[in-house]
Amino acid sequence: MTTFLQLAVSGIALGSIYGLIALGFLVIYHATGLVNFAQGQLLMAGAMATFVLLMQFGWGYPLTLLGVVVVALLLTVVFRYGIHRPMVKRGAPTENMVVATIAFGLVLTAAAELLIGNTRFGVDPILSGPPLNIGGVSMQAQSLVITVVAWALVGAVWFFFTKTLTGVSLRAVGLNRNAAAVSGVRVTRLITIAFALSIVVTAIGGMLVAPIIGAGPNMGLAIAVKGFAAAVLGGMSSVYRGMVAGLAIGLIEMLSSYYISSAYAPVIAYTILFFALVLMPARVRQGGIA
Amino acid sequence: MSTTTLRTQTELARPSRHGARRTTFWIEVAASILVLALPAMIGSAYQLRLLQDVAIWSILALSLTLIFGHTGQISLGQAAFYAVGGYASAILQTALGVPAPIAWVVAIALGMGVAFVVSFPLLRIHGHFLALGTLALGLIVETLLVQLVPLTGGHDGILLPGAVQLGSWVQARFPYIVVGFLLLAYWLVRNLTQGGMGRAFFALRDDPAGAAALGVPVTRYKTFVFMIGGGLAAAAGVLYAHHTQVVTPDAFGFGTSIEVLLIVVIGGMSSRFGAIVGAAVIVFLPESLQFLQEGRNLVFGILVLAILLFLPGGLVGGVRSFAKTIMRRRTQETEVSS
Repeated sequence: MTTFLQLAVSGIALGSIYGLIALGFLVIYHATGLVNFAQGQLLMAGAMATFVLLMQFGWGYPLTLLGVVVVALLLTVVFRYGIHRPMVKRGAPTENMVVATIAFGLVLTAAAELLIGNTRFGVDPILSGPPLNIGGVSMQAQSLVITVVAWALVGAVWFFFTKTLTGVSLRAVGLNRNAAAVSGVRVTRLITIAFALSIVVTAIGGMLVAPIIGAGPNMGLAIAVKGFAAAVLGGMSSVYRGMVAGLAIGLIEMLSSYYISSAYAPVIAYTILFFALVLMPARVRQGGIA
Repeated sequence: MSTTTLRTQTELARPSRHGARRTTFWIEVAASILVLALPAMIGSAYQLRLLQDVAIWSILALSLTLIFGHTGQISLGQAAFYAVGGYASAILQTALGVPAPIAWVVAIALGMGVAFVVSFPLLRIHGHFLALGTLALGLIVETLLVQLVPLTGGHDGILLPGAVQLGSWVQARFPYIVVGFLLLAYWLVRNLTQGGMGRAFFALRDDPAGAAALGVPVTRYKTFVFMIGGGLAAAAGVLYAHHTQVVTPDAFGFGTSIEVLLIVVIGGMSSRFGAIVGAAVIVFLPESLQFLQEGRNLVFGILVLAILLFLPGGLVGGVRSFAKTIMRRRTQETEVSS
């Protein structure tokens, strides 16, 4: 039972990260109908920025957090104004947008390899010290931090989307762009805000996960696929369902890697993604139309 | 963006000028003969190896051009079929001792079979989500290649010594086989995408509902194209296994799927010639610029972004529209002077 609980704790922590990816992914999807395949590489950028600022520059966590947010905002500017907007203006079809996000992710990975190095770097946890022991279940402090911060972020995003005028307008843009524009919503600016929100959340996810799995240029894909799986499993609709689905995937992954086989644990996540996509209701099958 | 939006970026199926198609046909025939003679003209083993690299990447890219460029089904898992071809052929030859030609045919048939089976779930989804689904498929196959050690040899892969499997006489002439396969693939794609069927492909890519209303069997054509694409990718895998004489999971992973996508975009999405141009670029560019080795993905990533932004038809589409502009200018000039 103790083993099970320990696995569950780390599963929940990992799952919260998957949920954060799903959240970032869904924010862009809802605002623009774009599925961003670079989401994992953006998480990688957050993790690598954490490594550089915290371990190489020795900035300490509060300043590092600030630095990661700045990096995320810079990437937002590049992604939104360098790639997304020009392509939308040129009327690029869906497939070209998909390829563009993949190419952007490739550039990020290659840049990280060149600038920082192609290995997994260790990152100090936020709270160092021996593992906590709660009721016989020992856990890393970082797992708790991840879970708390991730859910706090989800709460903040929920607050933004339901209680602030900007958030509500952003939902309006997602529902019907033309009607929103007619009602006086500044659509392009709001879409930029959506990109910024998504990328900042994802980069902070990278910052959270770096102490557990390390920071490396090629860490993005494996996490991103699970995040995509969470988003699809949550029905591509609500951010909170995506978060819950992320938890489910994290738990399934941890438990199956211990009780079944660690070698096949990733396959389970990929299979979930595959079947969730294929068996999802019509909304997903239509595709590309948000 | 809805699928019914007018495509402003990719090339549309253009009605060709009278006589232009016949000229193209003879150019293609001449080029084919030239390509078939290439291995005899190239002396150095190094260049021969590069030629085979280009040819194998081209076949793989042709499979994606057919699926992605012509019918708009984006596949991020093309390496899965490539892997089926390479591994099936290698396993049949080494573990079961099947003669090479039979193993090749079985491997290609298996690639088509797998594509046929997975097309049923996959073709229920479109656009972004099809990309996600094929991505998942590719990753599942990649993980299985690593984990099914008794069958695939895990990370070590399977050795396929050419002189043993093919005999030294055939092994020495293997470049001709590779080039021959490339020509077969090229003409297959050419003939499939010409005429009524080719126009039906473009129609179902741009507006599936409209195409269905006009009597195009959308699902059947999509499945068919997916199958042919799977078979072509498997053929590329078969050749790759003999070319490198070893199959390892690294060569059939997500990176390969992405590389094919880059080739197709660089060359020109719905151009069969573009597939070969793109493959040549991706093989020769890092070879000729050695300092690129480190940052080759950076260069290719930026190149692809630039092409998507400024030259959506790829290199071939760009050259085509450039030539058209020059032609138009020249005719205008002659009109003015006369």
